[in-house]
Amino acid sequence: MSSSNKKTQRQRNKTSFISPRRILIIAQSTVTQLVRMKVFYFLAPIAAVFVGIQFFDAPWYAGPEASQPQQELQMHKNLCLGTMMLFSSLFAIVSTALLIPRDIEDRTLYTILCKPVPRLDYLVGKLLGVMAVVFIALAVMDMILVITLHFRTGAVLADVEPYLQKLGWPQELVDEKLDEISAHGPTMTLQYGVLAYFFKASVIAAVALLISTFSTSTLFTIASSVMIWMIGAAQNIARQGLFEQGGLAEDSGPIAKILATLVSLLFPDFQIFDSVAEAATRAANISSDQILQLGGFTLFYLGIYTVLSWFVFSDKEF
Amino acid sequence: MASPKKIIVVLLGLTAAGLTKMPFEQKFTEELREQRLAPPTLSLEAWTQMSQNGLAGAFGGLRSVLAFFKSLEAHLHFEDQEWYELKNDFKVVTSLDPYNAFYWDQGSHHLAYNAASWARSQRDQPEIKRISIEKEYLEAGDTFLRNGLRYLPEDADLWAAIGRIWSHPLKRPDIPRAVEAWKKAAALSNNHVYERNYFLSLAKIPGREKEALDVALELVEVYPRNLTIPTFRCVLWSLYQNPQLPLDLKKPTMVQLFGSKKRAYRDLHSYWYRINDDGFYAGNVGADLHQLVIDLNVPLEFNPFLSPRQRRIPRSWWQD
Amino acid sequence: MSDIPAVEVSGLVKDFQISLRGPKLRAVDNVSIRIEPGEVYGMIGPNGSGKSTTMKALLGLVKPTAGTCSIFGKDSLKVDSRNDVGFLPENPYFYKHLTGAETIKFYGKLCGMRGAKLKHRIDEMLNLVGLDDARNRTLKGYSKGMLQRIGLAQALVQDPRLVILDEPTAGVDPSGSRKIRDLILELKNRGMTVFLCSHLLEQVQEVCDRVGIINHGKMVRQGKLDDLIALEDRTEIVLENASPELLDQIRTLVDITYGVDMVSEGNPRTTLENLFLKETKPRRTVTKKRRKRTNS
Repeated sequence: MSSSNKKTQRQRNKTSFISPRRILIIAQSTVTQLVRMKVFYFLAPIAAVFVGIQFFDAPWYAGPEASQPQQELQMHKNLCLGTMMLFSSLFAIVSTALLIPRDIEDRTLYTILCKPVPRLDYLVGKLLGVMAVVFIALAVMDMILVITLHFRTGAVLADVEPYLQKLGWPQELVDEKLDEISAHGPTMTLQYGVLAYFFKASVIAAVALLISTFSTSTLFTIASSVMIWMIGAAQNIARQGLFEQGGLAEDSGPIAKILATLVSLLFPDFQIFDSVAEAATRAANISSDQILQLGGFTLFYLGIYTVLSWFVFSDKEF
Repeated sequence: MASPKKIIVVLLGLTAAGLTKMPFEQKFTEELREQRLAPPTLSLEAWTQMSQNGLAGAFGGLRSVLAFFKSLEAHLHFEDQEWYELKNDFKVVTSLDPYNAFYWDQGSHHLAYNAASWARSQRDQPEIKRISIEKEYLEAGDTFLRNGLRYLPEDADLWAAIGRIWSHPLKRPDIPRAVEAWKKAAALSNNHVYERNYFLSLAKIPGREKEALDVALELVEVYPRNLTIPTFRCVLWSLYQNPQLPLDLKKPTMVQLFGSKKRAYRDLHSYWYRINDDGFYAGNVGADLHQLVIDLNVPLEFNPFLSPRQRRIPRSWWQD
Repeated sequence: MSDIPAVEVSGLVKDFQISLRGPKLRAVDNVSIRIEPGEVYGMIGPNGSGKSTTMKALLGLVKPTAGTCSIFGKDSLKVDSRNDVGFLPENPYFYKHLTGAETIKFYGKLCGMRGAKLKHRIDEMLNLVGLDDARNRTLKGYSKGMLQRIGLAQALVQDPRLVILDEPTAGVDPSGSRKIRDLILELKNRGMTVFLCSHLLEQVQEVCDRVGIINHGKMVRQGKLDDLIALEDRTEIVLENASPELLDQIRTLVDITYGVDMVSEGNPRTTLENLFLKETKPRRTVTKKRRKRTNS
C-alpha cells in the first residue's frame, strides 16, 4: 500500500472528536450562505442613518456656548451604538434560528452528518459562522461611525476653541476643554463599546442555537430568544435582590424569591455588556482588564450553551 | 421536540452553570458600579413612568438611547411650559442614564431658571404665591443637582451649577450656599473661573473679608493672570482697604494693582455700580472714587456721584 | 464471503414515540441485512414500510431501539463509520447559494480532502455525472435531474467503499434515470458496494445482485435477485426470424409432450423506456450545403 493510500486509510479509520478545520469549513459555508442571502444590503440604510445623525442637532443644541459641547458627540455615539446593538442582536437571533431548522427541513443536514462530521463540529461551525458575519457587520458600521464621529468632533473642536479664546480663557484651560471634548470622539474606549456589543450578540446567538436544537419551529426559537434577551437585561435586578441588603430580598414573599433565584441562575446577564458599552459612549475609563473579564464571561456562556446544544443535538433523530 | 428528560438535563445544566457564574457576575457588576461604569438599577418610580416602548428599550439594553428620546420629550414639555411633566421626564432620564452630567444640568436648568422665571412672571397670581413657587423651583433645581452629585461626586460642573443658581443676582441669591458650592467646584477642578467665583462670593459675606483676602492672594500666587480680571482686581483692592487687616500686611499701591490711576478709575467706576447690582463688597471704594475724581479732574459725565449712570468710560480717556 | 461485510444490520428494531402517552410506532421490526463488499443490494417496499428508517439507522441519523448496524465493521453510531460511506437522500436539497463545483468542494472538504487532490476530484465527479457545463451555476438554477446527479457526485466525492442511494431516480426523466442506472452499474464494476432503495422495480431488477423486500417494518423476502424472480417451472425462448413452419413444429412438439403446456406465445415487446429513448434521441441536423446538393 502506498503512503498516500495508507494516509487515506488512516483518515478513514480515525475521525477526531473535534476538528478546527471541519469547524472552519462549516463556518465558512455559513458565512457564504448568509452573505449570499444579501444580509449586508441593509448596512446601506444603516450607513445612511449614521450619516444623517451627523447632521442632526438636538433641540437644546447651544453650539460652542454649551457648558458641555461634548454632549452632541455623546448623542451621536448613543444613537449609532444603539442601532449597532439592535441590529447585531436581532441578526444573531434570526440567522441562528433560521440556519439549523432550514438544514433539517431541506435535508441538507443529512448529507452533512452522513460525512464524517461530528455533530459538535456542525454546531460550533454554524455558531462561528454567525459570529463572523455579525463581526463583519459591526466592523463596517464601526468604521462608518468612526469616520462620521471624527468629522463631527473636528467640527465641535473648531467651534469651541475660538469661542473660548474669545472669552479670554487661558490656553491651558482651553486645551483642557478641548481634550475633554476629544475624549468623546473616536477613541479606543469607543471600540471597547463595540466589542462589548459583539460579545453580547455572540452570547445571544449561542442562546438561539440552544433553543433551535430542541425547538420544532423557527418562530418559537426567535420569540424565545428575544424574550431571553430582554429578561437577560433585567437579570441583574433579580440577582441584586438575592445578594444585596434590603430591597427584594427582604421585602418579597417566597414566590418572588424563588422566581428571582431562577432568573438569576437560568438567564445570562446582558446588563454587564450593556454597562460596559454605555460607559464607553460616555468616554468613561474602561480598563483592558475589564474587557478581558467580559471576554471571559462571553467564553463561559458560549461554552455552556454550545455544550448543552450538543447534548440535545447529539442524538437528535432526523 | 426534545424529550422531557433532555429538557430537564438542560435546565439542570443551566442551573449548575448559573451557580458557578453568579458570584463572579455579581462581583463584576459591583466593580463596575463602584467605578460608575454600570448604572444602578432603575427605581420603581422610573419603571412606572416609562411607556411600553420605554420598557422594551430598557429591557433591550438601550438605556442611554431611551434617555435621549425621553429628554426630547422633556424639551417638548419645556416648550409647552408643563413643568410637572418635565420634572417627571427628567427623573426618568436621569434614572436611565445617571452618569451623564448633562441631563442633571439640563433638568436643573429647566427648573431653577426656566420654571422659576415662569413662576415669577405669573402676574395674575399674588406676589407671595409667585415668590413661593419661584423658590420651590429654585430648590428643586438645587436638589436635582445634588441628586446628580450622588452619582457624580467628582463633577465640578454640577457644583458650579449650584453655585450659579445661588449667586445669580437676578434670582434669590443665597451667598453662603453659593460659596459652599463654588468652593467644592474649585477644589475638584483646575478651573480658574470657579476659583474666582468662590473668592468673589466669599467676599460678599460680611465678616469673612480676611478669609476672602487670603483666598485671593492664594489665587494670585497660583494663577497671576487673575489680576487681569477687573472685578477680581477691584474686590482685592477693596479688601486691602479693610481696616481690620493687620497693619503689617504689605498692600500694593493703586498704580501697582491697576497699572495707572486712570485705569483704576475706569475699573472702580464700573465696580461701584456692581456693588449695588451684584452685592459685591464695598470696602472703601466710594472714598477712593471721590479722591480719584479730584486727582484726575474727571469730566462730569464720568462722575458716578453727579451724573446719570454710565457703564463704560471710553478708552480715549483712560488709555495712556 | 469476506469476513467483514460492507453492511451488517442485525435484528434492527426502531420504535417512534408518536405522542407522549400513546403507544409507540414500530417502524422497523427485527430487520437483518448483510451486504458483502462489491454487491449491489436493493431494498424495496411500499411507502411507509421502513426502508428509509433502516437507511437512517445505518447512517446514524436515528438510534436503533434494539439491534446493531455497522459499516465495514464500524458501529453506525460512531462518526468513523461515515468515512467509508456516501449517501444520496431522497429528494436531495443542497445549499442553493453554492454552485455545482462549490457543492462538491464543500463536501470533499468535510471528508478531509484538500488541495490539488480535491480540485482534481471535483473535475472528475462533475465529468462523471455529466455536469461539467453547469459547474459554475448555482444550484438554484438546477433541474431535478441535475440535483440528483450533483447529489450523486457529493456522495462519491471521497471515493467511499459504500454508497447508499435513497430513491436515486425519483422524479427524474427517463434519460436521466437511464444515466443514473448506468452510473450505478459503473460503480458496481469498480467494486463499490451499493445499497439502494427504489420504487422503480425494473431498475432494481436491472442493477441489483441481491434484493430485500420489506413490508410493515419486516423483511419478508431477501436473497439473490435471480433466485427470487426466477419462475423455476417455466422456460423462455426468444427466436428471431423464425419461419411459420418452425413455429408450427414447436407447437406440435409441446402438444405431444406430457406435462408441458404452452403458457403464451406472441411477439416480445420492447419497454416504454426504450421506445422513449429511441424517439427522444437527439437527431443530427441537415446542413444547408447538403440540402442544396440534394435539390440539384
